[in-house]
Amino acid sequence: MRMSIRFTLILLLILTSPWPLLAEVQDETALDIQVREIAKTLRCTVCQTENIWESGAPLAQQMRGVVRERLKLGHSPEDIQEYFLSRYGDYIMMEPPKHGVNWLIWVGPFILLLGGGLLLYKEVNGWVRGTPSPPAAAPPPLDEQARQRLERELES
Amino acid sequence: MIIEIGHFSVIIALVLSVFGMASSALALKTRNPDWARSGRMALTLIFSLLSIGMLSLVYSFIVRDFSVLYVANNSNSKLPFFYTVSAVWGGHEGSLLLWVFILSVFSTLAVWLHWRTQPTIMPYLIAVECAIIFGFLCLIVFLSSPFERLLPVPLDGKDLNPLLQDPAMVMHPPMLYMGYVGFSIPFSFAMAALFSGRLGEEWIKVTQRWTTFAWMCLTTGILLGGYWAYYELGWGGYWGWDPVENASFMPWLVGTAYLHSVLVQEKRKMFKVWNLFLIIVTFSLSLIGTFLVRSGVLTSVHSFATDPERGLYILIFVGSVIGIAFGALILRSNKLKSQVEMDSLISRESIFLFNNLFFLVAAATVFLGTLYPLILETLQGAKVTVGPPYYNAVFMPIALGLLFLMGIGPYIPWRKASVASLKKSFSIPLLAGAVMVVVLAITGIRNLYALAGTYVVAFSGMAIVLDFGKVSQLYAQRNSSNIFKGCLSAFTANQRRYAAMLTHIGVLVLVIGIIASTIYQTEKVVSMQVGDEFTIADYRIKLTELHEVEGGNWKAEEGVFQVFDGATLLTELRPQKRIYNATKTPTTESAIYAINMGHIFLTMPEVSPEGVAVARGVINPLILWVWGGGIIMGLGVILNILRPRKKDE
Repeated sequence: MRMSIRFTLILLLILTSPWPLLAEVQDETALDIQVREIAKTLRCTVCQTENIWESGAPLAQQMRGVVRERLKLGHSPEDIQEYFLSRYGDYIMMEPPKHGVNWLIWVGPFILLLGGGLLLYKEVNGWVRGTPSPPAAAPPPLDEQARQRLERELES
Repeated sequence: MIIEIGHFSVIIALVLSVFGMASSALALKTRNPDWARSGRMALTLIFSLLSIGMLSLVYSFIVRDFSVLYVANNSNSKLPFFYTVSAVWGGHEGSLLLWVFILSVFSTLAVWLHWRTQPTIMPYLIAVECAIIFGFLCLIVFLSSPFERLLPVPLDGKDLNPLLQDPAMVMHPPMLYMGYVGFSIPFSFAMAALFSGRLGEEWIKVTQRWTTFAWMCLTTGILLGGYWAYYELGWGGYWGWDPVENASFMPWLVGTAYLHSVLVQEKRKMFKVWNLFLIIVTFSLSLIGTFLVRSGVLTSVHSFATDPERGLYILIFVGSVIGIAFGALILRSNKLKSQVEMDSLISRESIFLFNNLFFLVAAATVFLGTLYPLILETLQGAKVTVGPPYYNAVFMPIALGLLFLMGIGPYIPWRKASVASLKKSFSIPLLAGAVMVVVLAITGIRNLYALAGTYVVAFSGMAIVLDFGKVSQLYAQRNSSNIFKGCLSAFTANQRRYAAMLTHIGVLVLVIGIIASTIYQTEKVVSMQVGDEFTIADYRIKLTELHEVEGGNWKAEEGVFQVFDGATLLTELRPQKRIYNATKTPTTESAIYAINMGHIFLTMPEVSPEGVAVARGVINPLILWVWGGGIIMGLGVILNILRPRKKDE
């Protein structure tokens, strides 16, 4: 009885409501969790940098509905993302899809790191060679007190 | 009337900033110290006048004078008193005024503090400070004045953005701005050094505490912003890689690189150009950060205003600061060639260089990620989103590299490290990391980031503890005291170093908090009526009551949720769905219960008239470590600033 009341209630809400999240969940099932995972990768196109999971906008609600329906039909998460991509373009993903010019920002930082690292390595080695080496004569042995002091200084 | 006094004061301050620049130029030309003194007076007067400007605006907010446009837009007759003051920086115009006010405070302080010890560069310093103040005041006076009147006078104000009606938001902007503006002091000293040709280590030593102070303010500001986002925006996280957050993170990253690399110049007199470059970039990013947020270029929750004139002015202003600064650096570069002496690739100075590389690449990543959508849209008309998944994949590995270097750097000697000393310093930390990873893997943790993060944290943490332990023991032996006194005397004798290590420990604690609370967050969304319950992790959450409550300027639906662990009642949480009367904006007020260093975080995003509530529960394990780590970092920095002055400083 209570179930059916709730069901009608929710049905009413779907038709009338500005209550986006209500329509969807009772208690989380495996499907809900899958919906959430996918929803977090898709952008709400009418919001400001928000994914469709966190957004309360009606459009985001509809899109979550689409994700849910397609999951029920047995589509894989990749299929669903592909579907949204084909309709909205790259903008719909929370990360730039890895193709074309977008590769720039995917590999750019690592190229910088690698290139900078190599350059730095070469430069430092060059400086090391250019630096006059300290006299090679063995230092006289230290007494215990001096050794301890030296150790302290080296540590700090 | 009052607001006109403020307006007039700010205009006079603008005129005085021109006078300050002129008198500094005359001081240099005539070599008459009186001109420098009048420059100092101009700066002091600017500070007094801007104080009057600020006070007049604060006053107008307190008396709720809605004939002032800015007050009418950002306040309301029902706005609580506490927030009427913070509403001063709730919008574009007022926050710019706050920025330049803080700048006038800092620069006046700097000029008076260092007047005696740095007489020759003072005119340069005053000129640079006045120029920056001039740039900001032009913007305020001509393009975005908070002193405009509104006719006819509205009956009531539009109200402060409800999201900003929050204690953390009272403190967040001033802290952030104190950080941004704080970097203007080392920047101005650096520019003074460039213009005057006095390019020694002096300016770095003089500004070391300023830099540390600025860094602390910026760090605190960023963390406060995260804390605010955490409980006010209601999605259960504290960092969303939002462009506005990124805008404050970029100067932090480069500023941190600068903070470290000046140590090399202090000790070894190398990398002069590099340090100048870093401070110029840091301050430029502070300016860019301010304007990115305040110009509305970025489409994000925080940006309010869009105005092409302002945008153009800002572009020209930031462009000239960067252009002049780098121009001076290039013109002086032949004078800056320092003899680089490097004994080995494995030395502290070389680790510092790699530290800088990582910080800069990290900053470049954030910069690229933030601006890429804008660039792509301008060039190709295509739109993309660069969101958290991107940063998790690209930024995190770089951050792990930095944490690893953090474990190595402080324990590698200057000039050259021998293999034996490396073994001595790092074999135990490396082992400690491995042991931790094995232990975690056995307990069932398989996430690669979690394991890598743990390894790095254990390694770096062990290196710090080991070194401090050894040195403390030496001190204890020497003074034949116990180990606790040894720790104390080791700390006080090397306060600069060990205060920094305390900050490093804070970073490690923070990182553990971040790893645990992001990777092991659990979340559940449930719709329920009074009497229903749901379980999340080990906790049972039951909705016992749903009622309306009313605050001064808002109404809310409040849910009363009992949280059970097994059969024991832990607490009652009362999340709200608020509607603010004036703006009709809804906000979700989260309710939080701290347990086992983590949080049970509950919000109620929707309530239907029929009494069905949507509840969203989030468990954030170890999240208290994030804030605790921040506090430890701050403590370390304070101890660093308050250290007794040594002879060579």
